[in-house]
Amino acid sequence: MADITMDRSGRSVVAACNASSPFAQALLGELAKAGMEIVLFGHASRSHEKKAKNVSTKSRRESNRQSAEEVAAEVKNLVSAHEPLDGFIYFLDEEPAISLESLTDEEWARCIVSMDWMFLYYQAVSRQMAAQRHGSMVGVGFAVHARGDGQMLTWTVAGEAMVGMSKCLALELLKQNVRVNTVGYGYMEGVQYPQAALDALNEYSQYLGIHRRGTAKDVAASVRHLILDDTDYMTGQSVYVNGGLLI
Amino acid sequence: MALLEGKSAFVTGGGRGIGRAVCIAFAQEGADIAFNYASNDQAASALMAEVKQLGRQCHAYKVSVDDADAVQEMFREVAKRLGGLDVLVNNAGIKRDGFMLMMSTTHWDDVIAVNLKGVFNCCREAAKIMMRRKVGSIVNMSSLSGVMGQPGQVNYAASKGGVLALTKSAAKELASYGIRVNAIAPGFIETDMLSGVPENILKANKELIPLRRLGQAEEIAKVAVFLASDWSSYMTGAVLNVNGGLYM
Repeated sequence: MADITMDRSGRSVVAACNASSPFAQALLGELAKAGMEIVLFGHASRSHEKKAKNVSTKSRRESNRQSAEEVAAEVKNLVSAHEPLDGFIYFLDEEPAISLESLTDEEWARCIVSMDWMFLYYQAVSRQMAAQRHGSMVGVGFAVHARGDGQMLTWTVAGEAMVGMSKCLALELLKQNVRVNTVGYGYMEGVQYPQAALDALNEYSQYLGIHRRGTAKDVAASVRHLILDDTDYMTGQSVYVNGGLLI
Repeated sequence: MALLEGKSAFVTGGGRGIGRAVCIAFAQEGADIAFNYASNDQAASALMAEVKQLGRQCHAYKVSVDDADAVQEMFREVAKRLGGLDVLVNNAGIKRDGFMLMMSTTHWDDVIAVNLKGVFNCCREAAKIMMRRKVGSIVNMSSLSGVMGQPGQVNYAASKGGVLALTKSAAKELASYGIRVNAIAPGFIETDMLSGVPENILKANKELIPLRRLGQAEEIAKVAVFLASDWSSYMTGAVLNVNGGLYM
């Protein structure tokens, strides 16, 4: 089991967004135990109704414009209180199980809205990190997108979007000394997988290289490694912590 | 506590470049070291002295990794001297670049023998030792070439691509014995391996690297420490690209 309790590089300040799930909170708890100062944010997204009913393109644009201003203000306040920000962690939403066949417009819209919030937070934080010319951004999500799966369409779409966006952002922020990577996890303890996906996961887990479910601590070790300067020649990469599930 | 405190590690091709940096980084993190080298006695002696100064054991073997019998004997000796083996880093590699149409079969054979068969030989012997205690971490050095190909390097790219496949298969085979197998694919790293590359080619390649600089051996060594340590205890069969963003 990963032991990350030693502090190797002084106290790093890490802002964590969208960390409402028990798994995200457990992961942040591990980082805090390891000596990192964790600042939670992402309040703007929580102040809105996330269920997107009949979201038209026009209303989505208008809603995003307002949200962008709120997010920018929130992130600016965060950075001014905790400057310099060493790390940013974005937790991808844990989505319900949905297959393409049964996908409703409302479910699809909710997935898109979730991606909108991801974009807005990445954008606001990247502006601040670019200004301070320092930082490491790490997106964390269930890596089902790396293999694709029935029943998990929206997780797959959102996960792939995060990876693609991170790669582009990594290239855009090079000159500002900001690195952008993602960590994809597999079948872990504490993640609230949708019931419909559990059958598939239980089947896959027979093929796990390492015969146990992973923990938040396992993922925290990789997130922490990517935030530290130990990985200063790594950017635009996806690191998978999955016990060998996807190999 | 240091990350590799109390562990024993074997590094192939430890005398110079990335291998040397790995030996030093591992020793700094508390590991006892053994390494092999192909020819440079002076570099090997200097490294031994440096590791011992850090307060760690260090043993050097002048053995070619493509010689299966010699490798078997070397690992027996290493296990005796270090009291087992926790970590293997397969770093030894050679290159014999040339365009495929003009490449001699000797150059093909040599590169495959050291870079791929050598990894197999060492993995097999190390795994036998690690299986006894049901714990171990193997880190294989692949290359950007093995991931995306490179003109003039069909032999090198094939060997390093083979290392990636070997890594994943070995990860599956050895997981039930508590042995993790992962790979690092370094990009352009400032070592002797780049010494034959003409300056203009290097410059052109540097401009393609998003981080606009060559990597340092120490930057690869830090990632090797991570994969060797318990920090990566739920990772196996993974490939970490450390290339300044050149390949994503």
